[in-house]
Amino acid sequence: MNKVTFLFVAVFAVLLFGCSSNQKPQFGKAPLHLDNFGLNLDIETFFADETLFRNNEKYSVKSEEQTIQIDGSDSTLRFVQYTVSSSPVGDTLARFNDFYFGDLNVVMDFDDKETFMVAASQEDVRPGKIDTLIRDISAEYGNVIPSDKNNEPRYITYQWKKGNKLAKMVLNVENPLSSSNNSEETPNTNKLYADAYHKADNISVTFFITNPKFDHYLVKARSISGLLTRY
Amino acid sequence: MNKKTHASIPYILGLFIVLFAASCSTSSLEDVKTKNDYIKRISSLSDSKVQKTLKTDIDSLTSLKEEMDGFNIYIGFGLSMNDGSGKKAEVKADSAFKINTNFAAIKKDINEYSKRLYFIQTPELPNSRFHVAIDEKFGNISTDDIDVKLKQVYTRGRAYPEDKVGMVKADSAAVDFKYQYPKSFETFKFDPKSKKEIAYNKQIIEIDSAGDDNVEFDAPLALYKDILSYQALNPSGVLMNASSNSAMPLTTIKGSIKNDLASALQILKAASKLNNKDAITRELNKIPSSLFPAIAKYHHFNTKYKALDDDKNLKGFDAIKRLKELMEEDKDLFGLEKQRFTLKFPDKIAELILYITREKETIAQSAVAKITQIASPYQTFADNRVDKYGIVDSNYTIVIPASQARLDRADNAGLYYKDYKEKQDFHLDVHNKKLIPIKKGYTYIKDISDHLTLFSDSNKYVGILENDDKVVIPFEYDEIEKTGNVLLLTKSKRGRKKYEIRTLDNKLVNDLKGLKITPYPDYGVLIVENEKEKLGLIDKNGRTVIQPTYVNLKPIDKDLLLYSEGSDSYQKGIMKFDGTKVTEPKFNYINDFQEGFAVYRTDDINSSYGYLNKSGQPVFGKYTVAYGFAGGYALVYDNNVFSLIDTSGKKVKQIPYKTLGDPTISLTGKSTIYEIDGKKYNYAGQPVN
Repeated sequence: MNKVTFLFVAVFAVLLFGCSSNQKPQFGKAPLHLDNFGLNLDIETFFADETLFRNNEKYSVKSEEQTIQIDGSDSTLRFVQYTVSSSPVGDTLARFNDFYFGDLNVVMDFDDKETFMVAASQEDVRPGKIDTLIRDISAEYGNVIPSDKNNEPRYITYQWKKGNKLAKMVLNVENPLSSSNNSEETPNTNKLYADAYHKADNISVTFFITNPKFDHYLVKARSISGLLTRY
Repeated sequence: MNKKTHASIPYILGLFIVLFAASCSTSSLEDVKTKNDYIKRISSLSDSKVQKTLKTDIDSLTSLKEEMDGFNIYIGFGLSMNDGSGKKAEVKADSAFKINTNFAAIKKDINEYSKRLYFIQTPELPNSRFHVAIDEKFGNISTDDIDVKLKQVYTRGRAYPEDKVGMVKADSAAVDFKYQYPKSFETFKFDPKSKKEIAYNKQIIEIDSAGDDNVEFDAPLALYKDILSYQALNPSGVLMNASSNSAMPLTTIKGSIKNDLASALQILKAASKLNNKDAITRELNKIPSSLFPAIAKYHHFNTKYKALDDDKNLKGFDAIKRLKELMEEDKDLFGLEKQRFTLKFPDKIAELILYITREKETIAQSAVAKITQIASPYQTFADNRVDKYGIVDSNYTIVIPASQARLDRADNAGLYYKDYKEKQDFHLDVHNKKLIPIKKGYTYIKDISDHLTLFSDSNKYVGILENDDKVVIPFEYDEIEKTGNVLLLTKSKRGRKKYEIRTLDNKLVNDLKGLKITPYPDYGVLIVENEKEKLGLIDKNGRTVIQPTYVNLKPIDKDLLLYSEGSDSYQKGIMKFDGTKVTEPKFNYINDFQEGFAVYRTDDINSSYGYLNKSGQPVFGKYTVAYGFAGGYALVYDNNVFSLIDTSGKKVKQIPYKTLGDPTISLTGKSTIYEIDGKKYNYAGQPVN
């Protein structure tokens, strides 16, 4: 190999490496990586294929403009919710390491610049997969933080916080704390939760990554739709 | 069928093709194509061979006869209805079948039918087509069962037989029609599991299958026509309607062919008893000539059917389509002699009940019916002689001779046409009598003005072309609507709709960023809604004339709006399109203006309804209930009396009633009908039928 050829190959390799490492996620090309997700989705690139929204046969993709109004105040937040499901093809739309999700919601601000939230869900999950997912999320976000005391009886919820990012996982498993006399958090909460989902059938997992601002509005919203209802 | 079974109707689409055709048998008789060939063949044989051949032919035809007798093709779709619960609901008794015995009412309806019957003419060559049309339904007769025969058509008094009318525009027709209805019926009960065949008045009902709660049986056509309905009894004697049912024609070999075959068999048998060859050939000459080509056609069909059956790639609807094509190719073979019933009941069937006409009456009448035509300046016509389409004007004068394989009118004016198969649109150049192809890929949607036309492109985006050629509004919108003097354009990106208003020559008038839009095309204005759900108005020139500040805003006349302000959507007032208030918001309800007056309501308990004029002033009286003006009158209810008032508020007519209920009203000017206590009145309060 002469010098010129070597130089060309080297430049090409650098370019190739540069392109692949900086590549922005694009829907339909690969599942959206939720591990190490920066909550800064470039929606123009992600949904660059306009045919997705025009009677696409493979995916069901829709966008809705919504407004959250907080009860008793004039405070409102407008946002855009993109809802994607892959039926009937059953493609995976998002992943956290090796855990794959079949439904995906992306929530952007009204100008489609700021990513407020990504939410993904998967039905019929085995408890062992949930064990791994909780371990992987904790590895990235730190320990699970205690959930609200007013637990929803039909769900169990795990929460994490890392810097300006909040992660939440909701399982459709009957909450063991709500059936006990004491609904306070206990040191054994995580064990009780794990025992509960290990006994459950047809578990659906919904995973959220959001920021404190959207979390603030979402928990006080009068009405919401899609996967956000499980938040 | 009880109401519960209607509650949810999961559809089960079943597809059945049943063809009973034994493997083809061959013999000398079946191999020859004509009777002459057969006679020649027999004549050439030695005496000893003749008898042997005749015996072989008798065996062969006997086998063919059995085959043809058992031949049927049945293409059916099952429709299943159940309560969707998966559990068997307790069976409730349905009411027993009965016929309409109000024979006077049947005759009256037939008389009405004869008065209101009309035909629609479709221009075609060599002769126009006429089909029966009637706008009304009659309570006592089924208009679909009336047998109407068109005798002659007339144009300005000149008579034409139907097969000589060509494309003359007709105005009336002499018709004969017949209606048959049952006067009494018999109840025929049987256990479908007990026998394979059950006779009713010498007609055989064949039971194809009988399950616990379902039964499939074939009835001869003559009997089918008399079967009025069916029910079943469960083992506890509860009367049940069918939860799913179908009656599909059963295609069999034509009766005349089977008769020919039967008579050929008799002739062969008679011939086989003769010793003299001349006598035998004379006897064989009696075989119907038509039998030989029919047998050949039957074998040909069976070969094609076998190929279809063997083609594993052909399934479902494609297989049905192909089978229908095959049957069409050999349609001379087939006839309809039976009807197959497929019934399912909500519970076990102990006895099936057929209700069969015992006595029937036929009403036969003649009438003169109107003939109408599609009111379009230009439309297509078919020339069936060459199987092509052309265009005629409103007098049925040919503008474009029949030269297109397919052509469908795309607009009311008849200036645009489509060939759906070739995905090609055309514009009719009336002046030069030419059909001009529109640029490939564009599909005509509608006219915007004399020279501007809305099209969609191959990506389903819409845009506007000037004179079908020059792009005025580019093809990047989802929808374009003319509103007032401007265009409302809807574009979407990632499914998010954005609206803008442009002039007809594509100048941006109003960028409606972030607003939701409700067009009111009758008034040429748009109501806009901002993120705080406040409403404003955009006028016919696309300008924002009322900022989005109102909780209610809706056009109620060509220059007036209903509005509510602040956060109080309950109190309503009237303002002009320019935002000038005509009244304060003080009414609970204001309806659209009709003939210059709008019904309003206030909080008064007893007399809350009245009328506002266009100045927003209450006029003439208050009523317990008031309805809009139509044809110069309005219905009011006051002091326990329904009255019609005129535009001065004067009560001009009272409408009596015995039982008070909400009147049924369709306000359409002088076509308005009020229905009060079961009686109908016109706009002026005159009773109508």
